[in-house]
Amino acid sequence: MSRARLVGAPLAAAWALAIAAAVAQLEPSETRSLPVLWPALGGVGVAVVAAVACAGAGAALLSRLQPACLDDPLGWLWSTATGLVLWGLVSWPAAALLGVTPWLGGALLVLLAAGWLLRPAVHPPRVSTSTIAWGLVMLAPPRIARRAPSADTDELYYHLALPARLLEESSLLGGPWMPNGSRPLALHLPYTWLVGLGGFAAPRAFHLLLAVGLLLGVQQRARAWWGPAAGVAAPLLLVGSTSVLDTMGLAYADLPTALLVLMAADAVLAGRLRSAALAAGGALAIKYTAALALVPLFAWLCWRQLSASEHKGRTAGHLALAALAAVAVVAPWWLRNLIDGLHPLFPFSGWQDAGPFVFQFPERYGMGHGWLDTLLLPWNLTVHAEHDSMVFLGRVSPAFLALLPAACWAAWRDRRARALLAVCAAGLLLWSFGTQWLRYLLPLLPLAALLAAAGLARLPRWGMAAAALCWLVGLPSNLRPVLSDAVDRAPVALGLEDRDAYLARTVDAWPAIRWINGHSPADTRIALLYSWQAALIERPWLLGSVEDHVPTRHLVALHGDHSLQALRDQGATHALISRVNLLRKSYPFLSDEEFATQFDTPEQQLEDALDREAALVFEQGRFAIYEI
Amino acid sequence: MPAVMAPARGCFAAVLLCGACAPGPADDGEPLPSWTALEAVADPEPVALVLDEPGASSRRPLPALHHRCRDRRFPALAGPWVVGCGAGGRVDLAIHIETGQRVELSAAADTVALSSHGIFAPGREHGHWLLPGPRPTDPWSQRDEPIGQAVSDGRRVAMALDGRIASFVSGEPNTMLRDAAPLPWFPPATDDGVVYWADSRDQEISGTDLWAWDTRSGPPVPFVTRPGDQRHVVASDGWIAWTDADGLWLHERASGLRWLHRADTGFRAGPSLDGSVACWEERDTGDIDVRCSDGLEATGEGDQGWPSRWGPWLLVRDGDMPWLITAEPVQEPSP
Repeated sequence: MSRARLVGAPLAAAWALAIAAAVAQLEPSETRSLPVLWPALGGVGVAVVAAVACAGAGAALLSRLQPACLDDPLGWLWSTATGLVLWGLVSWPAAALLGVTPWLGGALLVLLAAGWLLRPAVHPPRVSTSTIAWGLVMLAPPRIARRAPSADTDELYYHLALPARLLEESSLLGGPWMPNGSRPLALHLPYTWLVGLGGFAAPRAFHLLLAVGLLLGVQQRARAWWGPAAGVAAPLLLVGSTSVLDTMGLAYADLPTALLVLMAADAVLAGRLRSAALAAGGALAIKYTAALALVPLFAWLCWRQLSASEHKGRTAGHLALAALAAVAVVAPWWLRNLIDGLHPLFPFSGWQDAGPFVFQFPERYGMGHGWLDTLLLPWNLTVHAEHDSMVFLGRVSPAFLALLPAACWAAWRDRRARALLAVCAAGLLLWSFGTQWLRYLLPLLPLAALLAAAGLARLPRWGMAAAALCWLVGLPSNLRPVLSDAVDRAPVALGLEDRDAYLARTVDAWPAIRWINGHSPADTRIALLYSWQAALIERPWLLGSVEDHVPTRHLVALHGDHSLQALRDQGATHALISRVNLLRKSYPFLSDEEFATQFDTPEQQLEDALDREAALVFEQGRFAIYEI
Repeated sequence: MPAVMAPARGCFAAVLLCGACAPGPADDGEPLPSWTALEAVADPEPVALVLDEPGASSRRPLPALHHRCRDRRFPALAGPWVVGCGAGGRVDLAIHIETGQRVELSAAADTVALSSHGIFAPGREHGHWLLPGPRPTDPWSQRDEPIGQAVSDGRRVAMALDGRIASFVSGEPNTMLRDAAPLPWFPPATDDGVVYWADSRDQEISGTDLWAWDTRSGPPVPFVTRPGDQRHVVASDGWIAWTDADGLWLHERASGLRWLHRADTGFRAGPSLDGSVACWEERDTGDIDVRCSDGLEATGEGDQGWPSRWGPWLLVRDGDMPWLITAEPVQEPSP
């Protein structure tokens, strides 16, 4: 390198950085000023450190458990995913023994990062400039979402609320008073450490990193298996779907689950049972919906290995051991519930102490559960799905259905595509029997994207163009909700709108929450009745909401007229109640009597109890705060 | 459904006209020093409020106003008008009690301030309505968003803002502002140029207190600082009422005397005050009833609540149905 270049290049780079800093600091609209950027950058920094630490721990473990994973071009993703599973596994005993504190979160990260001391050889990700450019364009809405204050229902009631509450209490919580705390927390304890170290921005950034990892994993696998066209198509199928793009910039659990399911499928296709078991167990420990993909995957694995094996007994033993290993990763969470005197699958099961209590009504979702509805599901999912209605509560690219014949053709010729077709078909069937919420299908979607990409790769150029046209036709309807949200969030994300003003227009409970944060006594403890916006509440809270307001309905069913006394016994001083007035027409499958028993009566009973025993101190819209 | 009032020996008309039946201190109560200058004084000890016996009354439902309002404090009385909501739940309808005249208000609001002279609604296209006029007479815009219902005595409007209390005279351009910590949702009260409100600045020490501000002179001063939470302050014609854990309090500004009616009240709706006559919710009989200091009441099966009082009329709600209870005039004994 010439001396002129040696000196000139750093000078030019320094000049560019100086201009960037000057613009950030001095430009008049203050759109991207450093004070606005700094909190979010802190969160990103913590998330990147966590991802690197996970990769170190995962690589160290894989170098012993399944070194072949590290030799793989996706070794970096394998390491990170394995590290995430490990992080979730060690978090429970650590939190149970030492308490939930940011210090412990930091110590765990140091422990995970210590994996790099073993100097595992990991292939770094190779990403082309064009992929980065595509990513920057397609992932602009999630990046905006990541920087906006949380107004998302699931973040408010669970993904961010629970970590903040655990940190507030410095201990694990669970049971009927904090039902979300009794779910498997293999992702939410890591989220807790991230919140403790970097605020709400950190788990969101970490989630976005995992989602990007998922997209790159799908891209690189599709390209390696079926060529460059498949490598382009697979991630575009995912980011062309509302249900994937919608939550990418938020702190959710579906895409991390999907990532681990992808890794499990990858390991199964490569015949790596140990890493498959680890990934599968990790996926289940994050979200049980992973079972929709993992059960068919395991069934396919059994059929494939047993039919090809000459030593069926030994093969069956290996398969059983792999299944047990996967269960061992998720079982600690069942054990924890048993120790707490709960049903192992609480809060999804185990509310029966208050009588026949239904946790979820699958009939509410989708377009029917009959055989004809199941047969029509691919069509209905593609054409009729709506992001903001119970008709699947989401949307996917029509290119999935458009490429179905080509995918079947690919399955005829290709072993991997055949496996993916079997798993996707069986997974879709399983999903159709339950709650037809598109988000629950997300663990299966990367596999479906790979399958569709395999089909695309079989097509001539004009066939690919037809599929691309279908993807493009589906893009506006899939992007509409995402772009609409991005436009709504952009002013606050860019520092042009006040957080308070943004929350006032997006969270209908915000006036009540502002009252709690600003005017309730310091020792206030809030019971959330039919309300869920817990992440915004700066006071200790209990109950909250899951599904159809199960915790509140269970409280009234169990304690009846003594419900407020039960809350007082738990230390609650105030109650935030939302008058939900659930619509009768939303539950056409219930008789009038069942609807009254499940919904109307408890709500009225609670309202009467508040009128008789509590004092109303704030009310706006359908939200009210009572001193109890 | 409100119960029929028991026959009566009440002297409602006298209370209304000359204050002869106004509550007075019990016989053993020492007269308290006059407190008219709005200075910070120690809270005077109260004497028991003696309620009149229930008098004769009639009642009728108001089905035209049965729609549930977004602000549950409505429907309510604005002088001889019942102001309530249409199907959308916004305050956009007024019906005259005596003539039945119905006025659709031109710009609906979630909540408004009522006085015996009309309505005030804060907002860009709002202002004062002099009923039966369907439009505001002085469109008025306020930059700051009130944090609760505004109040009006027909001339002066008071409202709580975030960290401040605001007051202005209708039709005049200047808004007077003072730093305060008004409790959201609980409306302030205003009467004769004085604004009262529930304030949370010393909440951790003595609970929420009542503060007062004479807009003609001086800064805001503490008005009631007893331990406990004083809330739901209302004012009318020289009388101020509020609630706390002990019950309903009544204060005569001219004399500085205070009366206390021990009851479980102030748990939902605030009292309604028309001069010296106060009406309030009580729930010490197993359900919620409404009682007034002149003996008018709404009791019976189920809950009656959300009292609003003006002159002989008491508006209450039984479920979602508003009921108008009218005190019958006292019959003069024949010579």
